[in-house]
Amino acid sequence: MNEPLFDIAVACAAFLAGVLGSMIGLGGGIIITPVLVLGFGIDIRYAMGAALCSVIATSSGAAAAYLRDGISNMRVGMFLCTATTVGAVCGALVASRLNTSALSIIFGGALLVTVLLSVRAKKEKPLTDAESDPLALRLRLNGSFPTADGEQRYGVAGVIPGYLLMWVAGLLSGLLGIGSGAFKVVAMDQVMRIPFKVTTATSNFMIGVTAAASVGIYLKKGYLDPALVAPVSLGVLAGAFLGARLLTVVPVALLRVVFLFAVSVIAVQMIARGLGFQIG
Amino acid sequence: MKNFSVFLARVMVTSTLIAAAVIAFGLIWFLVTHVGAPPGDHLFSGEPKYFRDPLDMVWRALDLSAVGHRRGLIMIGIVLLLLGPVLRVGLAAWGYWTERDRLYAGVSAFVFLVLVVSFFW
Repeated sequence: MNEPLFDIAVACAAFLAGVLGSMIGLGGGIIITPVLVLGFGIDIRYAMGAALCSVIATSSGAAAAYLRDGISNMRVGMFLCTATTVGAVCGALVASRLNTSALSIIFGGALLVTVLLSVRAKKEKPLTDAESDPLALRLRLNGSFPTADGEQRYGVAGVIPGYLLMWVAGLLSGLLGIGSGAFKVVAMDQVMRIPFKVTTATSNFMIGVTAAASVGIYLKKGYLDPALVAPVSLGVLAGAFLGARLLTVVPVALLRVVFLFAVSVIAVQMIARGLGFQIG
Repeated sequence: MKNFSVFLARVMVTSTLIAAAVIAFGLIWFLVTHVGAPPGDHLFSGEPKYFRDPLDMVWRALDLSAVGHRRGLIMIGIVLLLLGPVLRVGLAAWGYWTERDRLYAGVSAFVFLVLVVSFFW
């Protein structure tokens, strides 16, 4: 296969990853890396670099829409970004010291956890100011978002555990070249008890900023191959754009089950590859 | 803050679209000049120095005589893409500052600093 054909094939795969990622809510970055590694035989470091760039592109587009609607909480996002960016720098520095087998194994593990996190049930009503963490009041993290019945106030709990979890999310993002949106959502939704809608919107803003913190290091280490980053980031960006629109027309519930299963299989293959087995 | 959010959203979309356009243009240019060449992503060698140093990269891409280095234009698009979030955080810091919100101007400035330092590590 020559270079143009190869790039077109990669762009098509990235496009599909973008469509599926945005439809089942995993994000394109975490799907495209195993596809590049297992399907195209690309070195995992190049794959991670390309995926991380695609994460920045898609998160910018999605975050902008939420920001305009007034759903995302900029103060929460910025405050937690102090944890994720520092974590991301640490992760990127660690990644450059690990070999590809270790990276494959950790990647597969993180992918499995991401699938588990995304099948968990959503829940309950927003906290009041009185129920929220006193630290959240001092940091003015509590906010409100527009609903059909007017502005809905909400409080924020567990600031310190949430902050520490965010550091871990940042670390994974830098270590594996993923957006780690699922981990960010868990920290905000489960630990800090922020309403789900606000959580997804805010995490989208944070994903791009977090990824930017490690991508500079990827660049210096030579993980960004322009001939790979270009088709991957353009493909995922276009795919995510289409996926977000398909959400309203396609039976997502069934698709989710099918693809979450497929992604779990891929995760196991990544681990097997890291351990030195070749399956499928 | 509402108007500022709308402004910030516009900056995000615009910077992403400009970067995507530059990358797309660079990719087409690269492919046209590489018809028939074998793909080179299977083995990791690290990218050459001029793709790791942002400044060197700009000079390289502007050097039209370097036909073999057309990838440079893609790299500039990528750097634009990456600068998007940095710009956004910087603007947020400035926005908070004009609202006399010292705490969050400081928080944003810290994030901005981490991003800048990571870029020039």
